[in-house]
Amino acid sequence: MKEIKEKYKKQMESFFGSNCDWSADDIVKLADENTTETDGKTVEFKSRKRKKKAWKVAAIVACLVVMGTTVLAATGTFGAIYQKYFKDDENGTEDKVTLGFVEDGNYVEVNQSLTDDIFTINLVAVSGDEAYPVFFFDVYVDDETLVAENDTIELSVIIENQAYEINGMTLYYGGTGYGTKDDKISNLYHVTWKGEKASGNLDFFGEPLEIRVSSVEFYLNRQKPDTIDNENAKENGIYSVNMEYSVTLPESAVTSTVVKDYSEENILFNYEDDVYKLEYVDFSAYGISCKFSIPSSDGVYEEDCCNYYDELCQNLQFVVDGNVICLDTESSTCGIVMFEDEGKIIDVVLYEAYFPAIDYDQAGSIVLQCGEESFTIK
Amino acid sequence: MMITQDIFLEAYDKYKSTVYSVIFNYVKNTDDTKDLQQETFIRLLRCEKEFNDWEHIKAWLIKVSANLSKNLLKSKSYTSEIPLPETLSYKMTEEDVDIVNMVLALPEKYRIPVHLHYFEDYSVKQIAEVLEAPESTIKVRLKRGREKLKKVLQKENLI
Repeated sequence: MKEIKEKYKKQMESFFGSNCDWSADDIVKLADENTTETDGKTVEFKSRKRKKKAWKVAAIVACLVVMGTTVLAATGTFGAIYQKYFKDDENGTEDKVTLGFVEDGNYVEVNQSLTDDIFTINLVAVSGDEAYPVFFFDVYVDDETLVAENDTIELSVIIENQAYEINGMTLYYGGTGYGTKDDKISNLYHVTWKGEKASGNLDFFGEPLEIRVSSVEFYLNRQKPDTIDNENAKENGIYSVNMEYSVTLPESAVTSTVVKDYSEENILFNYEDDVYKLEYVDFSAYGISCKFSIPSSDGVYEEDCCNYYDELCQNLQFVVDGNVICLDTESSTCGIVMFEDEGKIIDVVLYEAYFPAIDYDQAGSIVLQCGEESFTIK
Repeated sequence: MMITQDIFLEAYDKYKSTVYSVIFNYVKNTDDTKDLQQETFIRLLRCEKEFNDWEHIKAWLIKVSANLSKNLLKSKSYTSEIPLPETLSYKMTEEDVDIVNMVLALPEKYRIPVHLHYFEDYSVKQIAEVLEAPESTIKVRLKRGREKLKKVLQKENLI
C-alpha cells in the first residue's frame, strides 16, 4: 500500500497543478476589495428534517448573559473585527469559545441592513454553536450628540421562530445585546447578542426566523434607570426602533451540539417532597445545560416554586470519568413556560441548571447525580 | 507568528495544494474548490490569531477549509450529487492506477482521513486534531478506508 500512497500523492499534485489558477496576489487583491461579504438578504438554507421534540414550548423569555465590545478596524471584515473583540480581556469581553469558532470559520455572514431616522443597524453575522448562537450587529448612529455622550449601547432583540405557532403564539427568545464604539469610526458601535436554544426547542438554524430589534438604548456610564418612564423614553436613553430581519440560517452555519432528549422517558429525581422530571441535557461548547420540569396535575404552582429548585440545584452534579462537575450557580435559572399538550396550552415550571462545558465525545462516562440518585447519560 | 503579507505569501505557496486537495475531497468539483480555496486564504489573510509555527498554520488551514466545505455541502444551494468529472485532469503514465478517483469514491468519513494520511502524511493524532474527532474514531475510519481501498484494488487486480 506504500506504493499506492506515493501514486495518490503524485496524482493529486499533478491534478492540483493543472487546476489551480489563483495566485497569491489575486487573493490579496480580493481580500482588499472586501469580496467575502455577501449581498444576499436571506442566507441559503435547507429544510430541517430532524424529528420535532415532543414538547412544544409556546413562549419563553429568559435572561441573557452577553458581552460588551471593544472593536478595532471597522473597515475590516467580520472575522478580523470580532477576533480582536473576543480577545479583549481588559474590558471583560474575552470569550475563547466564540473566538475559536470565528477563527475556525464556524460563522455565517448575513449582512442585512435596515435604517430609520437615526439608526442604521446591520445584522453582520452569526456564530456560536447550535445551542448558543451569537449574533453580531453593527449600529451606525446619525446623531452627533448621542455619539459624543455614549461609548456603549444596548440593543433589545427578540427572535421568533416562524415555523412554530401554537394557538397564535410563536416561539421566541428575547434579551439584550451590549456593544461599544468602534475605535476608528466614531458613530459605529459593534454589538453581540447571545441566544439560547431554550428548552431544547427554539431552533435558530434551518427554519425561518424573524429577528426584531425593538430599541436602541443609551445609558450614561452604563447606569440603567431602575424604572423606565415610557412617555419620556428618550430622556431615559431609550430610542424605539422597529427593525425586522427575516433570515433562515443554514443548519451547517455553526457547530452542532450533543442534545439528549429525555422528555418522553419519564426520568424522575425525588428531592424532599418534590419530583423533578429530566427533560433535556445539552452539551454545548459553552457549557452543559440541564432542564427539569415539575409535573403538576392541576397546573397550579406556588409563587415561590423556584426556591425549591434552588435546593434541588445544590445537590445536582455531573460525574465525568470520575471527576465531579459542579453547578454554575450564577447562571442557573427557573421560570414558568407554556407548553402545548394535546392542543391545550399549559404552564410548566422549568428549571435550567448550567454546568461548565465538557468534551462529550472524549468523555468515557457521564453520570448525572442528585443526592443519592443517579442517572447514566453515557 | 502573526499573519503579515510576507507570511501570507509564503503560506500560500506552501499550502495551496494542501487546501485545494482537502476541499476537493469534500466537494468533488473544481469550481467550488477554487472558490473555497480563495475564501480559506482570504480568512487567513484577515486572521488575527497568533500561530506557533508553520505546522500550526497548516493545521488551521485544513480545519477552516474542512469547515467551509462542510458548510457548502449542507447548504440548499449546493447540489451534493454533482458527479465527478469523466476524467480528472492529471498526467498518468500507462502503469499508473487512477488512485485519486478510487479515494474519491470512498464515503466522506473514510475519504478525508485517508487523504490527510496519504497526501499530508498526517498521523492519527494530527487528523483527529484538525477534524475535531476522537483519535479512536479516526483510527477506525482510517483502517476501514484503507481496507475498502485495498478491496477495490484487489478486485481490479492492481495489487
